[in-house]
Amino acid sequence: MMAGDSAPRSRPVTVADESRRMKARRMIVMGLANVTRPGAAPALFLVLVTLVMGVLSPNFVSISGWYFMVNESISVALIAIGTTIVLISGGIDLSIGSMIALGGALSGSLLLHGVPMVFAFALVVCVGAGVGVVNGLLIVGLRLPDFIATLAMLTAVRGVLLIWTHGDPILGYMTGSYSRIGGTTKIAPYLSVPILVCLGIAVISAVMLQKTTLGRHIHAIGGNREAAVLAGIRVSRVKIVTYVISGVLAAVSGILLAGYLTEVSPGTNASGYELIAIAAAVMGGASLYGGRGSVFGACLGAVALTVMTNLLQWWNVDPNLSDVLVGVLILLAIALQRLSIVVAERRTPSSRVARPRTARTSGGPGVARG
Amino acid sequence: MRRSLRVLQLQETPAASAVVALVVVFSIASAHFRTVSNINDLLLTSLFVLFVAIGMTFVLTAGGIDLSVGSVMGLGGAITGLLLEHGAGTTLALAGGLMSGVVVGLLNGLVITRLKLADFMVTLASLSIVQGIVEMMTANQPINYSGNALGNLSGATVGPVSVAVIYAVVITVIMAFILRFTSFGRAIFAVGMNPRAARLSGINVEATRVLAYVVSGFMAALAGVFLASYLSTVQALQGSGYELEAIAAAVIGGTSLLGGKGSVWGAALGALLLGTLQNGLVLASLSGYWFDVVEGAVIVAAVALGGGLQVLRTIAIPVESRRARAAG
Amino acid sequence: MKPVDKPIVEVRGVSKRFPGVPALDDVSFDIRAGEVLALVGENGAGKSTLVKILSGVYRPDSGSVVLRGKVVSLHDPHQAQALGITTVYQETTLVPGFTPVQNIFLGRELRQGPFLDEHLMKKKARSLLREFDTDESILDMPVEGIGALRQKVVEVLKGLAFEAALVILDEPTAPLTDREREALFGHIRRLKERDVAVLLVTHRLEELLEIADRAIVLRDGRYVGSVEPRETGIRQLVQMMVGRDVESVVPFDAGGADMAGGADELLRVEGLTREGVLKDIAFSVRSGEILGVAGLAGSGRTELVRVLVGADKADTGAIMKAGRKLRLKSPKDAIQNGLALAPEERKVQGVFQTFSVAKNVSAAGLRHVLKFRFFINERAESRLARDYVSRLSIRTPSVSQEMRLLSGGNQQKVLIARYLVANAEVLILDEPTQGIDVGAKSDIYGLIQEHVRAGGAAIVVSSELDDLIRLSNRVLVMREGRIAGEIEGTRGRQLKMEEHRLLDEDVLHLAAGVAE
Repeated sequence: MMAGDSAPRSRPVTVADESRRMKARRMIVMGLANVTRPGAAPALFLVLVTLVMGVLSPNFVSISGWYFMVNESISVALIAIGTTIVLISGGIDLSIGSMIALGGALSGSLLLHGVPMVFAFALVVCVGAGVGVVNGLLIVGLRLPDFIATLAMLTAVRGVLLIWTHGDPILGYMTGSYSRIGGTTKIAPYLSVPILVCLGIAVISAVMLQKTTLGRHIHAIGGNREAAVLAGIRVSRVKIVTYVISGVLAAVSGILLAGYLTEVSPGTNASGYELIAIAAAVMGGASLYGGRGSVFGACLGAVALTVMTNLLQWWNVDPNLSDVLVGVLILLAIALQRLSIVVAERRTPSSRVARPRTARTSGGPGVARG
Repeated sequence: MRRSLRVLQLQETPAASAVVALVVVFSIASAHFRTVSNINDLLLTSLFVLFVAIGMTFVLTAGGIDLSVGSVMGLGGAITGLLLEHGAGTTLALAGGLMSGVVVGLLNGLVITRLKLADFMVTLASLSIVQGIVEMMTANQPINYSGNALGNLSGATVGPVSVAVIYAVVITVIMAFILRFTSFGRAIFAVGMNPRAARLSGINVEATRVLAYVVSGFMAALAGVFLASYLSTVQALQGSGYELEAIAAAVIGGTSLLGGKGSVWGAALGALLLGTLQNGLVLASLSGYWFDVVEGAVIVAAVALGGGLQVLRTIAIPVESRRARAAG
Repeated sequence: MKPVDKPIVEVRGVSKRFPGVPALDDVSFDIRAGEVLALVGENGAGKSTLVKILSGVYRPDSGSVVLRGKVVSLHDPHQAQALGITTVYQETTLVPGFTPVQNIFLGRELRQGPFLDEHLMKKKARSLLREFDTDESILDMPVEGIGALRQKVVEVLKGLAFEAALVILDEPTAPLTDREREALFGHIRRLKERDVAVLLVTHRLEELLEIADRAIVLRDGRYVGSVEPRETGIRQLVQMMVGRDVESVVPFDAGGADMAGGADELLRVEGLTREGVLKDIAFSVRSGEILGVAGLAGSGRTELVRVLVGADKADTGAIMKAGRKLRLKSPKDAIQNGLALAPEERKVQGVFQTFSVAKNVSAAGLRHVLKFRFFINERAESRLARDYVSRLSIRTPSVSQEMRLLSGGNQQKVLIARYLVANAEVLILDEPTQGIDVGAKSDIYGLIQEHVRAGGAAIVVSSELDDLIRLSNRVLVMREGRIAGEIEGTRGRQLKMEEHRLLDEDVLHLAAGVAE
């Protein structure tokens, strides 16, 4: 039965071509949606790796092997989640690299000064939120392009960090409980605090994104900013919130990382993390054009990237190659995303939905013409 | 009266005034600042940003952005150094290093225009890729510049001034000329300002953009060679952070992040301003890291003000526009 | 179902001006609940401005809007929607990745505690879809995949989910197939049953007969009148749309009608087709000829001229010059072959705002002012610009003046100068007199006439029908991507006002697809 017609139901379906076209269209769209479904890529990658390595070297894929890799990937997973949220709203946060370093250095330093753990961590989280607010204000208030604003913050925060620490490493703050929090000490067989924290944050973020108004609005802004504005959504507020979340998650990641590595060396800056976070998020299905993304996909992406770097080490490949690979992966990912958009537009020409980033010249609500 | 108003409207004026002001303040505050050797140092250390900023100006004016310049600096220095180590002549080595910058720029440009991918993402990715390559090249054995033909670019002097500074001035003049007085330069402005109008005027928009990235890659590689010579060795991370400084210098000099507006002299002034700031901070015995913070603030201010100045101009203009309309 | 008598929306004395152009002048009318009111007028008559005022995008300079008996001040689209005025634009304002449910409740999501009440929203959406006899299976699909008709339905439902008083549909049938259009009319009738008023902006006059209870006509920003199309017929509507009392500003071109038999054919187009946009376009232009292109919005005029200069590619067909088929891969090729386009929306597509006049003039013909092939000779550039400034009577204090400071008319002249510098033989102009004052219009028409008298040709796309007919030797009328017909222009001939009016109407009939 052809839907959408006002023809009475007793009349037989006439234009068979059209109904077949509609069906085909539907199938193609669903197919594309499945293949590019958030989380599909890293999941596939991990399954592949397990199979291959399972055959070649069983030691690599023992359960304890997985445990270590997952544990190692948590700090990336957390910022990947934050990046996913920012990407969904159509923005980008490059400042998280130095934010992690700052978070770690601050917690170590505060602990060294005898501040009780809870307060120290709370303070660090607040700083993360503060940086997020500044990012948000720069972008929303001063109308700076997001990558410029967050790039500037990346540099500024790194500068602050280096001024404060003079480039010296921070050590000696480890305690038993921090070691548990950092994940070097397990709290249960194959379970560590970071893994729990990450799971918790992932669940909360996923629920927020899918089931709350805020999450809905974040998707809307990234999907079609004008539509969101027309619908009365406070775009500025929502964007600032996304940057705050990103900053907070980077701070938490820094806290955990400091516990895991047992020392913080700000001299060798944690740069490159922002790219890895983007790579993980994009692998997990986040679109650089906004409107799409998956928290669990990002987590899987983070694990996948860690597995990949471990694999490369296993094969004695030059560690610097992983930098190269991250870059190549990102390029591939965005090229694929662009391809899927082009394909989708070509297959369904009659559904000319307004593309959020194109200039409009007629007919839309935002044009000043007589 | 009219003439002086026009000077005020020049996009380079804010940068020039800031530089003058800073120089005056620092000269008063510190005797050491005023010495010839310090001024020479200042100019020398500003060189590297200058070159990258000039390349960045081309890209920004064309409406794009190039975040990969930091690593291309390393690449240029590394390749030239390697060629010299293996006995190549100076010219060949230099050409090799510069070519590497050209190739990266070409790849950036092609991927961005042909595949229609976001410029900052693509150049961010190539930043990572090139960085990795450079690290691999310098990992096992440092590439040394001391004792080779290009090793003393900074040391050699003509009178009180470094040879390098003279090269820089010449290059700046040439690049400024290209941007301002050639059809290529005009095309860059047109493409950055209004790509549709540019296309309808018969300009090849894609080729112009690709060439802009090539220029940026070239200048970054050039900066890398100079920097390696100054440091006497190639450090993989030597160019790290330069992309932001270059953007800052360009924006301070009046280049618009949105494209269509740019000035090589402005970028030079911007680089000079940043160099002076850095120099002043060092003299004040402040940790060099202060510079990072300051830089972040400066770029924010420059971009925000840049927009603000535009607004001021449009407000201040009505007087002229009324005159124009009265005439027509 | 007879519409209730009391008006649900009243527009009282609304006026709106834009710099230099009065868009609406003292417009008053009302819309009754449950009625389908069509809003008609030529391009630029003010329909779009009126819609934007009603939907809260613009504020009127004077006058007021009365909703349900109370004066309302509409200051933003969200508020207008909340008050009950839903506007469905030509370009969809849906979030492409969202489902219909998510789009319908965008910004007004229903909640249960801190979480979204998806169940309730889906339920409401489902019942709305059912009411509009639309397949519920689309509820879970992203709207980008459901097709144009259903997207329109979703947009309408956005308003209906909350009490709507008025639904404005701006050219809704443009992207629809015939079957879908019928379905849309069915939906409109359902809206009537719900006592919702519908304001239908359309240029497809035949459609009016099917669905509109009343039609109001705007012309040059003024309200002309209201008719019941089924009773009075289309001809009267067209007359109201077209009738004009003002003298045209096109300078009389004495030798213009004399198209000498030996005149060379400068351009020939055959079988030009571009999927979905142009169908089988064929015509030719001779030296000394002005060819007008008329048509309503969406008829493909701009698409045609863009293909002519290589800015877009045709799927099939040929563009020939002097018997040779041209391969136009970009506007650069076109310019080299003497074809140039001065685009519509000159501010956005044509002019380099912060370039000087001189730089704008030389933009397409830089090679004339180059030294040693690469270096721009700025003095030569200024001289060239000054030459054209005086030739075309461009008002500017100097050629170094920033382009954006010139008035619209002068900017257009600069654009024309640009392509004259590039030695364009066939000068193509898309809406050259839009937003330009009377004096400049006259100048520009004069320039076009001069150009063709010197041996060139001109193709002029314009919505100013009256002027276009007087300017052209022939006028092609486009409709939905095809050439619907051709009218003989009155260039060089003296005709009475009445006869001109009839020609205007003929063009409009062809453009709107009205059977004779």
